[in-house]
Amino acid sequence: MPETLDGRTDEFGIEAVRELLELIEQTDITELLIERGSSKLHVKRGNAAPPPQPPPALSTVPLALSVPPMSGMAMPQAAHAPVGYAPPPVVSAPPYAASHSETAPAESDLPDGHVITSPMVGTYYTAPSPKDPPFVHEGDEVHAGDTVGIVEAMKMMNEIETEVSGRVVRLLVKNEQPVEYGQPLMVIAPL
Amino acid sequence: MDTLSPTAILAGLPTTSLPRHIQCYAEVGSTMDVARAWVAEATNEQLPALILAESQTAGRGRMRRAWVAPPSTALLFSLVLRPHWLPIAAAPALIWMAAVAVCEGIAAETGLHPRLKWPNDVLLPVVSPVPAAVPVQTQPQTPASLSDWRKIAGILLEMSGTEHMIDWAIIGCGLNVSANPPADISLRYATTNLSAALGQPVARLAILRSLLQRLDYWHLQLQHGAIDHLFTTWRGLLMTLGHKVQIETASGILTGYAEDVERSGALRIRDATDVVHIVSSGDVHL
Repeated sequence: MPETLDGRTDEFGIEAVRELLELIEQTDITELLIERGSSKLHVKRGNAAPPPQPPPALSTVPLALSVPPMSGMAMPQAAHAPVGYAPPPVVSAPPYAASHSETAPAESDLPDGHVITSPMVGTYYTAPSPKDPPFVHEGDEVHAGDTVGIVEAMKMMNEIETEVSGRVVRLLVKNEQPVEYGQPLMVIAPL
Repeated sequence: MDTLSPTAILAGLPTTSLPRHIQCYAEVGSTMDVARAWVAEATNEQLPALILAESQTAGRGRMRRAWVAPPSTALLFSLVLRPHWLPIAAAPALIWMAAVAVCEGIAAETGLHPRLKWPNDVLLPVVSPVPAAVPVQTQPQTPASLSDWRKIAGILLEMSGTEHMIDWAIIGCGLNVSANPPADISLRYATTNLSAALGQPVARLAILRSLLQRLDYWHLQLQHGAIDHLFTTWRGLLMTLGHKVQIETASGILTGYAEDVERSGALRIRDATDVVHIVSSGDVHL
């Protein structure tokens, strides 16, 4: 091979790029970022080809789940996927997957304020147990660090703290409702 | 009766990352509550910390269901961590860590072969156990029916954090060592204890020390990013996979074939109409 990814002088020689493009052509990959030392190669398909459709029978129920990115950990998932394990299809990113922001694009009628989102897929609980009163009601004043709800998955009770102080102006999910990663849970208006 | 004291637990314990602090109590409401009250004042040097009790008056499981054990017959503890190094999206790995460590800790000390009912109930088969003194030459016997399994330990994780970071995490564990829960307690599942399963008395201290060593191993693995190794090991212990199950979720009851787990840990169920459901929380009924 004239130029390879191992090439010392040119990390991403034209031949290597061509090979990569051919590889991408043959797959459903729409975007690829490779970093080697100080060199970066970012390939992105133009025209936003529609994402591959899920297998016909895949999850249409409200229990649907997506895998949030585990940023910060060195986990090249495909390379390390255990034998016999099919990685979850990279289809239909959840509606809120990209929104860690203060506003929720799909909820344009949200009141102004800080939007608390779910850190994981799971079931939302408004109270510590069915016998307890809800952590918060609309109109309640909360302080940074207060627990405002629980998202449960796999017997993991994740108490959601508010990062801001303010008033709860909108509750967006009901008790025992399935929630997606990044889904807005409530809006807090700073006082 | 063996005594659980910090000195006895730590004597020559070859662990490097945990526990850095131990509190032993004769009786508490729940070690989870003690841990929760203490975690705010715990220093980083004290964590991960172990909080144990001989007896609990208000032990609890998922959704604050009661967890009951006669005094000094079980290992009742909480492990307190402040895993700021773990992305919150990877938090399920803490559940896998505890579940795998409990299975491996029991296996190393007794030769029994616990398996997991998704996601983290620790079960033992009812079939005749392999005596601890006999080297295991063959594959452990596996019951054909899921109803031939009995619960020996339960694990719970309570954590707190913002949408971006884990603040603290407390892993709770109740492990029946020499007695089952009292007969008058209404339970949703069949139970057993280690001594009964093994056919000879089992010392709580030895089990705890074995378990801590496995927790230490997997905690270090996780800190070094070996989450895939942990996931694969956890998945390999799931006896739920390959069976028809009924699962009670917040959205209703679902019946189907437990095909596999997703990389997130969620259970993949194929129902009779060939629709695949991905379930992240619920009670699996065998």
